[in-house]
Amino acid sequence: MHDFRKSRLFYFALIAPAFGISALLIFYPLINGIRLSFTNSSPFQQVEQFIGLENYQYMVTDPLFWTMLKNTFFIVFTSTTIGAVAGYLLALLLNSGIKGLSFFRAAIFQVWVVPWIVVSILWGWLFSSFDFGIVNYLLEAFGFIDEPQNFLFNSRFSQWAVILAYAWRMIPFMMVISLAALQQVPTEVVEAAKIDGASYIRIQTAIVLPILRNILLVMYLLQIVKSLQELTMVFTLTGGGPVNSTMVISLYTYKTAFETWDFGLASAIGVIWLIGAVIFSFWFMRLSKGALT
Amino acid sequence: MASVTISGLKKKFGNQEVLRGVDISVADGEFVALVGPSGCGKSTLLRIIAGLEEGTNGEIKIDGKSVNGLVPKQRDVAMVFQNYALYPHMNVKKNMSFSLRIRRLPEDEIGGRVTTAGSSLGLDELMHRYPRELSGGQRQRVAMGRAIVRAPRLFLFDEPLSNLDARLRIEMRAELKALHNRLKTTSIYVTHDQVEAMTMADRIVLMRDGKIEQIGKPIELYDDPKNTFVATFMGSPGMILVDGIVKHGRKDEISVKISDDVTLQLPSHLRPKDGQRVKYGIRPEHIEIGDESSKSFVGKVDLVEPTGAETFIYTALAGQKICARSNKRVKLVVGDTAKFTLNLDKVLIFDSSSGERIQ
Amino acid sequence: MSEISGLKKTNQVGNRAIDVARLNRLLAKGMLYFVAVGSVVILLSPIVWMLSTAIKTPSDVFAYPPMLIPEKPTFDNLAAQFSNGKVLRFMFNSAWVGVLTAIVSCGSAAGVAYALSRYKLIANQYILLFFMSAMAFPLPMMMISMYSIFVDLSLLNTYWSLVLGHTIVTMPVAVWILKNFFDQIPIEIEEAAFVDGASRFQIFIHVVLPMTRPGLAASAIYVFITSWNEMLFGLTFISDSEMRPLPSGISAMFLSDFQGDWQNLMAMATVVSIPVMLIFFLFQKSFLKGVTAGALKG
Repeated sequence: MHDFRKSRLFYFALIAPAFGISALLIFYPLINGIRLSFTNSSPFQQVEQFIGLENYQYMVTDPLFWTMLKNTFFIVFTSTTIGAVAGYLLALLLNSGIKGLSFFRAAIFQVWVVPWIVVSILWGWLFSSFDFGIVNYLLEAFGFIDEPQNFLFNSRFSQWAVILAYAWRMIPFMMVISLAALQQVPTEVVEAAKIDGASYIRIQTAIVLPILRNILLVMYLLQIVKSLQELTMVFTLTGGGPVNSTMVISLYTYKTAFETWDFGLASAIGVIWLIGAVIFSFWFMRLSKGALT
Repeated sequence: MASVTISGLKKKFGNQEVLRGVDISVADGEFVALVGPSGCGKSTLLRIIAGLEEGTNGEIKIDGKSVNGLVPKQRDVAMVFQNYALYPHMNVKKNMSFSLRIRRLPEDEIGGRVTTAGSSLGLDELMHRYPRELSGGQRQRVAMGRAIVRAPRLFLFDEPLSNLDARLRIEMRAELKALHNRLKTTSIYVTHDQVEAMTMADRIVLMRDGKIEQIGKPIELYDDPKNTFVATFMGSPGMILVDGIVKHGRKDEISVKISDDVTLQLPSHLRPKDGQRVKYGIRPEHIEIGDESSKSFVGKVDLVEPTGAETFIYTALAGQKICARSNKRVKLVVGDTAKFTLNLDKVLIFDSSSGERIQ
Repeated sequence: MSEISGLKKTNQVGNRAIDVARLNRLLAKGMLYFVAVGSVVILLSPIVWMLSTAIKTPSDVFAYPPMLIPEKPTFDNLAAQFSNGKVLRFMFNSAWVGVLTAIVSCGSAAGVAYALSRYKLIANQYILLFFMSAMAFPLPMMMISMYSIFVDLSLLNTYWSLVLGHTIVTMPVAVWILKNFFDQIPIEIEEAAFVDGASRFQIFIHVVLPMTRPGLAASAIYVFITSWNEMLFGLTFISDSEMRPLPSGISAMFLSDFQGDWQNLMAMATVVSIPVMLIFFLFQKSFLKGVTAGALKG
């Protein structure tokens, strides 16, 4: 019935809207961006000139670039790891046969529903640098620190504030996907292991995780890619600071493009970003395929 | 009302040949069953007639006109699927009227047709129910109603009763047959159940591996099978086949030697060549228990299956399994010795290697 | 005699063992509930703190030690923010853009998803790969070209620049969700309609789409919420503050309008979160079904 040779027109009609939009706003910008990275394109530049690898040279010799890369790695990997582990543990918890699963799930999802801008503002309030800032208060109350810290003026702390926000935000999805995956594990396999005498930890590490390995790895990869795009919090709350400690690649690219208005340089950074994402994905895929064989 | 002619139909899926040259002629108003084991191509053939697939070679004509390349809509056929394929988001009434609404028929005509078809199938009370609220048998009727309402020139059935329990199946079989007698629409019916085919069809097309083994009236395939496949497929249980070698004796006597101790006689009109390896065939109901005569052999009872109306007695003849069917109660138990008498008039022989019937 | 009392003793010991085991199980279950509830409480604590601040008077806000439940709760802040003209305007913009984006994004995605689900073409896997990888493309870099295109089409400062931008961001996931739903519809139903005489287009509209309502709902909700959340496009393509969608509008006035006015800021944050929380609350069943259905095909 759905034979391409017999219904060509219908097929093209189906994909036309998506294709049109994608061609104009995904495909073209991607190709054009690569092209722009070799120019000095800018709204301030009357005529666009081809400047070869100048943008790339500038980038590589700019210490801010390397700081930015380092910070991006740190923030993105740490937050994704924490978020994934937390989400998975929550899923384990909810999968252990307690009632009211839908209630818990709905409650946890509120974390995602609250707009990012709200989270950014909220984080500013939570990490407020005086005694009434709740984080400061709790840390003092538990004896971790002696006096209220100014989180947003301390590079290490602000990085951790951002990491915590990212990890917190991704937990609902990590949990939901982990839960769905856990529910796919055949109960008989786990029961057989129990009869064989395996402890809970042993069952989790030797049986459950290997079965779920691929799904979890894909979930991890997708989140890394998504987190790289994330920009709202660092833009609103930290502005990349203090001292560029929270300057991540998304913010750096954006600022170069729409504050410095250097389209060429921004595109070059974008190209590096793209190459990095592609390489990482391939490497990651190879890693998880290894588990299959 | 339409005749259907299929000539030289072949179908390949990639490298696999599913239909290897099929020729069938269905007369107007006939009920033809396509029967065969799984994978014989019967469903594929039906789908090609419907227009859901295209054959690789060959032609299909409906009412004398070729329908090759035509979309189902243009063929004016209605199909009843194995899983009913009812629209889950529409109630019974909407399910049945869907095709008519597509054709923009006037509202009152749609209403009339749906009500008539619905009543004839006993669906009056269920018109506003949804498929998920119906039993298997009810869903089946809705599927049929959907087809009837269109008053097409050809009905196609793809194993419609397979998903029903045994009792319901028997009930529906009779209803389907009555429906056909009333509407007289040409129907092609696919099934793997030869009993269904035998009770419902005017003619049976028996297929295997993409080829037709035999076409004919049900009773023809039963009494007059062309080869061992047809002989064993028809009937439940199928024909008993025993391996043997033809022996020409004195005085024009021809018999079949099964083993050193066992030789079976042949009816006089069968005269195969001496030394030919054959399969000696007879149906269980033509083997009688008891009676001493030259046409009988002695065997030890291996298994007795009483089904109430008849009893099956299993024994072995020179190591080959034989089944006798008796409609009298038999006082035999496993281990007993009994005499089995063959009705020679009903014996058939087939060539051992080709399976073809020797006339 | 001694036999019976011996049996009685074994029974007593046995019964006690069962009781102990039952107690252990109950305790374990209780622990799990405790940890589960505790985890959720910790997880939601930032939001709770936000709500708590929103109903505080200025003196309570800066009180030390900070209290969860204020002495004198007030709804003045919330009332003020509910009638905050700027915020309302932003919310309207976001809602309108969200709805338009849901229609455009899910509509286009449905077409592609159906084609990918039903047509067995080699090109399919490449198309799917393209859409999935689109999520990894550097958004700020793509926005450069989008910016030029929108300038040329005079779409800057209009809702359409946002709708188109948000569509790009959400279409891959919508395609994913919808394709998985289409895959689950048995092809026989479509074939039955086809034999009944419906055209492929009629089958798509009258048979397939109605059966995919949960999937459409799930993707529409995802698209709407993502659009509501999106800040970058609003910031870059809209300069008129009247047209700004919520996140970009707020980020602009965050520091200026609410200097140290935390209770009003939190009240505004609350007000701004309510619409999406409401929508999610109403549609969560379909949404979660849609999200998990596709999750495992990964």
